[in-house]
Amino acid sequence: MRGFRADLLHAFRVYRQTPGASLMAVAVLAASLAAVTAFLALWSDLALRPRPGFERAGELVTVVQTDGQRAVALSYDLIEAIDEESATLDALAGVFPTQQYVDRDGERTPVGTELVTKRYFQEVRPRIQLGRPFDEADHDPNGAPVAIISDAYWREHFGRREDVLGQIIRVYGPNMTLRSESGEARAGERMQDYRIVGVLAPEITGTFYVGTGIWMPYEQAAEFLLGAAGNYRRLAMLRGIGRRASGASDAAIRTELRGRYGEAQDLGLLAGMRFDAMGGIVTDFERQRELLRQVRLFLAGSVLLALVAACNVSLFLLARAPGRRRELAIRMAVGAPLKRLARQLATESTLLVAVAAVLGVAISLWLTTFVRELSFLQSPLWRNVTVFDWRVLGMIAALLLVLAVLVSLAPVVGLKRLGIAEGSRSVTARAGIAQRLAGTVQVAVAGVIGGAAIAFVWYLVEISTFDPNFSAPDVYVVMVGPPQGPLNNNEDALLQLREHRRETIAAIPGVENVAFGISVPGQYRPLLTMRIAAPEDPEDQLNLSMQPADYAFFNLLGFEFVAGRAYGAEDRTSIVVNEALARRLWNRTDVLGEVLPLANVPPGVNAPRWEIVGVIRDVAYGHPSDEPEPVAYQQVSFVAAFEWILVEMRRSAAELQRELQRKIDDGDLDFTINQIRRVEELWSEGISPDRARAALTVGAAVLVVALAAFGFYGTQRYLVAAGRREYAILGALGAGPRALGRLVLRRGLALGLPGLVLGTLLAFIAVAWLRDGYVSRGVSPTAVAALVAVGIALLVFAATLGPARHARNTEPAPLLREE
Amino acid sequence: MTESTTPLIRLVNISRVYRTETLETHALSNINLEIYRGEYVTIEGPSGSGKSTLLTLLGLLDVPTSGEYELAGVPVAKIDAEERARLRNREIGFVFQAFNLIPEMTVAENVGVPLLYRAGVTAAEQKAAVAAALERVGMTARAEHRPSQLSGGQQQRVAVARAIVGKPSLILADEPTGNLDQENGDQIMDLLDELHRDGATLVTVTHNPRYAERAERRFWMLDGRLEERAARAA
Repeated sequence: MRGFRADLLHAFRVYRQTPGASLMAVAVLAASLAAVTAFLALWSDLALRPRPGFERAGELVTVVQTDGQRAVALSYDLIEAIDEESATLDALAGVFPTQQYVDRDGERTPVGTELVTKRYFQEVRPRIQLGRPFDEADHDPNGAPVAIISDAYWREHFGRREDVLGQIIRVYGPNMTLRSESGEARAGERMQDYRIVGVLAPEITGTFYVGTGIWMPYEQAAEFLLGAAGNYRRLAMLRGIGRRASGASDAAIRTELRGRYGEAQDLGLLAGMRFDAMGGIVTDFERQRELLRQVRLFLAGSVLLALVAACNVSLFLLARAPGRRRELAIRMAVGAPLKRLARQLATESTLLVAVAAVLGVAISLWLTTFVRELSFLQSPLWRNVTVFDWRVLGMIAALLLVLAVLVSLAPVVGLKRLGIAEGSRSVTARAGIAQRLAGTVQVAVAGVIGGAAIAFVWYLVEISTFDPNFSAPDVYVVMVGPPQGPLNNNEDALLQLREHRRETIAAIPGVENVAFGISVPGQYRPLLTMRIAAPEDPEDQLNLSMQPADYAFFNLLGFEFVAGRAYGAEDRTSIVVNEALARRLWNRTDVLGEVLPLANVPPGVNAPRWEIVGVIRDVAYGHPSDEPEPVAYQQVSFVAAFEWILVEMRRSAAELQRELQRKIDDGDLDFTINQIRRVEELWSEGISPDRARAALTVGAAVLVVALAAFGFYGTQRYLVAAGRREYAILGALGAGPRALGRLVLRRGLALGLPGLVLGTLLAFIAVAWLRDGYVSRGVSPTAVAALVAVGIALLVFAATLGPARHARNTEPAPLLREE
Repeated sequence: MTESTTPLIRLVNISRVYRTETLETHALSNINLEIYRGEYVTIEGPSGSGKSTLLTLLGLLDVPTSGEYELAGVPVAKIDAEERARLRNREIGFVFQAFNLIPEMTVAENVGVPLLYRAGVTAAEQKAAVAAALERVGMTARAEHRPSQLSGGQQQRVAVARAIVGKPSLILADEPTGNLDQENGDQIMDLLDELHRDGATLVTVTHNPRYAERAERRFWMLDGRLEERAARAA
């Protein structure tokens, strides 16, 4: 212990001698550790830390049906079938998160509600703190209505009184307005009393959404609450949450379900959908998957950064070892064995890592919040991201161990070469295994991360210069709130309302044009889709988004017509389609006069006849990398009630908002303004995650490349310093300064060659992998790898120039006299 | 054994001063010296007298603080480091007390090093020159050995072969027997004698009067000043 204390004390002294370099080594390690810790905390929150309050929550798994872009809920029949038959799932329950209204002192009060199927309390097993879970009888459709409440609801409405059990919650039925030719009738005024039978543990605030107050048996409540009219088994409304069988992975569950129920349309599997499974309770399946991909990518990058930093510090410690030759010689002379000296050097290295770890964890407290706010990582899915989670801290501890070993490696391995007897006799210095390994790792990692940065920047340039096929420099979109009261599906009334709004807004000074539409570039809302079939093959069907847009919409947004024109102000039977739809259905773009081929029109039904009068270029409503969807525009439909207003004017958004609000306050306009945005800004926001990702990667790459260059420089400098006698001999034999400089450059390039080859190869692989979802297929791995190769060669060359100059300036005379 | 009236080495009022912030050391003071082609010169003196400093100046490894130095008629003060290296490569061969062989290279590779820095030498010419130099010092059989596999005497023979491989005008030997026992020392000095007899200009630094006696001209150094002793009878 005394020896360890002495080593520690000496380590402090050693680092104090070169405070600048020591602080830099600590800073480099701390920065990389902070990055690893931050991304580990995000990863743990998303995927590692089980949801508190559920028994053996690590076994829970969420099951959905998805088309790869959006996940959809399951039907009761599907859940029941899987629950009974699956070999990879011990059980599967369904949860329908909704909002219901309860009576509170005569007032309708909204409350978050989860309707759960019978296996929920049996198998998902949320912890009950008071009362009992639902039993078999509670799930009987004709059973007595019962409910379980959350701890928060108990506290708020019952003051945590024990007599809550048996109390009644009065729940409203669905609020619907039914219209017929004879008039309107309102339903949903009926109520049902639910008896409280249990209270959940405080840590359970909802299975899928925070803020759930009441749980009810789905089978009993579905018909009353949802008006499902006996159809509750077929409606795809339930999120599947199950318990995996022992040893079953997500992939195994996925494979089994796809194999067993791939064609289960009769049980409620939707067309074009397939099963997917993910560990844990997943609220937004696709978003969570995307977040996980991003977090894992940057976590891997951070770990690589930490490895480079460790190699760098290791080489830094080795490079300063020659300066300590005398100290080590004295220690050996007084009897210190090599092992003891190795321990001393390891203690010094570990001290550096330990200080960096403390600093890194402190920085990560801020960094965790910062990265979570980056546009590509913003999400409501984050629950409680914290560094102080045993999984995060455990993994960091393991990483620290690896880093400590790495940091100690070079100086300890180099110790034997630096022994006084060896050192005094040494003439030359060639890179040892540790130096070669560390140098190669550094350069290769710099190649990989540099390659990723090039790929991301390439992609960013590609999407930044992408032509979205619209032009609206002075166009604002006024996002109005949804209509209040019953939905108005009278098209004449909607058109009348639209024209009133147009006239009123056009009268505002500075307003040049006004138009209306459901979607604008940057905000695509497919509110109404219909099934259509290819004219040549009725079996070839697709979902088509029908977008209500007024006649001025196309001109205002600068949409380009490749054929035909926009429909007129009074024209309700003509439509405009995009090229994607024209090609998909007719395999050509000149489709004027064609009629939209609706699918599955029952015999005898008088289907609308929509004739195409114009074809526009495909407009990028979303991300530039998205494939354009088939779209058709029509003058009006019932969803036009949700349309937004487009205003062309050369004044600011704030001024427009003031003018509109004045009209609203005066009663001239009848909507609420959610927000007003410039259309082009709105669209460009779609690539802000790409910008943030590219910036983060480039930042990391700059850091890694700088570290690699610094480390490589340190190695070369060390080798030249340790081998200066060789340069002196060569100088004495006639090697001029240029020849000595060239020799060092050659040796530097030879040392960097394995890193160059490996880095180039790994960069190629990394970019090829990144093309699968992170960047576009237009990014060429070969070109990026070539750039990486050139970059690494330049890096190695630049990092060797200094040592080469040092070798050039070798003064042979004093060195050749050394004994 | 003077062969020419133009000196191979001509030093006029050469001084070498080492300065630190607080100290000024006059390693050489007003040295005047002329050495002709084919001469065998030895420099003696106690440690720290400036012998090795003088030798490094002669070998163009250092530059004087003041004074003039001409090597083969070329005033070396006016040439840059590259040209000095080229001159050193062509005109000078070094033999060091510590041999200064490169351990990673074989004997043949060590001997061939000076030719690596001479333009226009083909691989075949280099090989032939190395073979001839090794034969000259009797080390042909050890051509592929590493220096660590040789005795001290053998290593110094290799060093001598390296010094003569480029056929320099001048061989400078700094305490060439300093790290050898008497038997090996005698053999090395015999080898240098042979080179001199074959026409080499030789300047050696030695502590050993027995070896100093072999030279044609003997100089004594003390406190940076050079004084010629009586020349040996030819």
